[in-house]
Amino acid sequence: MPGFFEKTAKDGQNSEAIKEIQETRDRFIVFIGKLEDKLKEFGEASIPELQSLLDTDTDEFKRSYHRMRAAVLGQIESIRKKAVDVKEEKIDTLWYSYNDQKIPKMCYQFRDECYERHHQLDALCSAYRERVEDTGVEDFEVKYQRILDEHDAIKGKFRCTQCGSPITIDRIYFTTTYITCVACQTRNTFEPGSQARLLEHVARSLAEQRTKQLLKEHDAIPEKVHDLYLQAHRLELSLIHEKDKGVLAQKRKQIDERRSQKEVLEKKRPDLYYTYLRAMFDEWNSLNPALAEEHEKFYTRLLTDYKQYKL
Amino acid sequence: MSDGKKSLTLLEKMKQKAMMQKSYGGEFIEESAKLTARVCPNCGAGRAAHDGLTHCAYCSFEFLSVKLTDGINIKKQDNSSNT
Amino acid sequence: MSNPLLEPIHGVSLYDYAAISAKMASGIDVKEICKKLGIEPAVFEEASALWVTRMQEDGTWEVTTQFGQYFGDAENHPKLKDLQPEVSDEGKDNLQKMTTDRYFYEELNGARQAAYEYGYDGAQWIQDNFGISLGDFQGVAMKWMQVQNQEMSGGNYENIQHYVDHQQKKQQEYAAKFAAEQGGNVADDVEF
Repeated sequence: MPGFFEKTAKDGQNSEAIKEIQETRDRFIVFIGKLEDKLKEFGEASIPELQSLLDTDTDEFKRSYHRMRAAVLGQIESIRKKAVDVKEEKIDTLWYSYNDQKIPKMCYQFRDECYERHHQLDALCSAYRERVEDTGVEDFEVKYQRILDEHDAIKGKFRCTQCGSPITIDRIYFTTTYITCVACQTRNTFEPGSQARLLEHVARSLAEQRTKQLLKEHDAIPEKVHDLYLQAHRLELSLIHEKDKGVLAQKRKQIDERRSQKEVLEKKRPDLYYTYLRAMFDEWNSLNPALAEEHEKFYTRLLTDYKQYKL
Repeated sequence: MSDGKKSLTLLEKMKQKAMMQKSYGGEFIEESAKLTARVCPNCGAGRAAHDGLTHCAYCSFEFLSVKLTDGINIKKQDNSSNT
Repeated sequence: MSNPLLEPIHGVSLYDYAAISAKMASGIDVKEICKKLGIEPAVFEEASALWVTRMQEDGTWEVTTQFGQYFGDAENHPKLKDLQPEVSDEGKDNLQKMTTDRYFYEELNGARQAAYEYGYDGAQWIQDNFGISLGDFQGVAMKWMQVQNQEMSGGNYENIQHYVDHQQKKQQEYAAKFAAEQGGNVADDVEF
């Protein structure tokens, strides 16, 4: 960076720059703090409102709730965007204009402090976003139970439109279908009720819900691996100034342990995914056996994708 | 305090807006299951099982103008032979 | 047809299925659609459920990609093209403009996005304010998507970025309008 250590700025200019940097930093930190307060206040107030709307929304797809949730997320986004805009306008601009002067250390410090504060707000926005989204987590056991209840209520109530003999609905049909009367052989048309029509979709979501713990175990591996890597890395760094042979040997042993634990986890990861996927599809098949053959083809595809793209 | 009130007012407005709106595609109407049977518009016969779904077993009237494949409950053998 | 995943299901081709989806999204009654195709709801519902499973099975995305192209071409479907929803003159003009004027298309995209972020049902908002149904909107979107894909494979990224920028600018304009309607955004009084 030319001019970085050159005496390009006069002392007076420098002190003015320092003053401007300090003031900007202070203002930015206060500004982010105020945005954080707004975010917390708005987020905390919105969550119970969303929960109550979800409970009272009589629409099958909870569309009023979803509209309001989108609006709440929109407001969180507006806070996040306001912070980004101000960071770009005030912090980045100032940092670009001063970083080639005689105060590099201070400039870096200014930038790092502001970025760190901004990052904290950003993380808080994400945390609220997640909490807001979590208000809509539906229990698919309940939805599935509604399908079963509907089926129980209708399965024995039909009679052949031609001869009046009883027609039993022997399974949950989720599409319109033809049912033959055993007495007169007429092909009756059976149209499922609204709940049964949701079967395939609810079955998948419920299967995912019932097996999510297995997926979580798989998804937790990268963080554990990263953690072990960091531990080994820190231990390695600590060797540099270590003179004691006993301690050195002990630390090397610890490093090896971390590395082998990391390796074991990395090897285990695909198997955890296969276990999850098989369990999920078994559930799905048992909840909607009519499409089991098609589910299996989807299963094969997901397995291939996983192996190919190392997802 | 005043800030708290503002958030609530905004939230109340948002809630009202969410609830008052018409949803695209209209209201969801809960439909119960039904059983009917198609009667041939040509000869008046009920749809009989013995010769498939696509044509009337008695007068060959075309109920379905497609060739059925193996689906979920409807299968290839549901194509009528009297076409 | 070389790909077995593209074979018709109960005689319902992928083009039929995509055109049915487009017509339904425009508000046409599924019974009318079935009548035109010479099928009954039982056949359509099975075909529809199975086309979804074909897309799930297909790791090459060919079924999904072709579905998108056919969806955008629903207006030319030989059996379904005559099924037209009732559209106001303004809606017709807007749809025509959206098909030919990419800036207008990007504007509506941005507006719809902003509408969702301010608690509107975006599809309904477009219908109310521009008279364009979701089915027609998505159909035009598929066409512009193809244009964009061609630009992408031709390396014309500048043009793509140009329209993305336009969409974002418009989205912000609409967002400001929606914000004003609700009395501002939550942190409007926080100043730097």
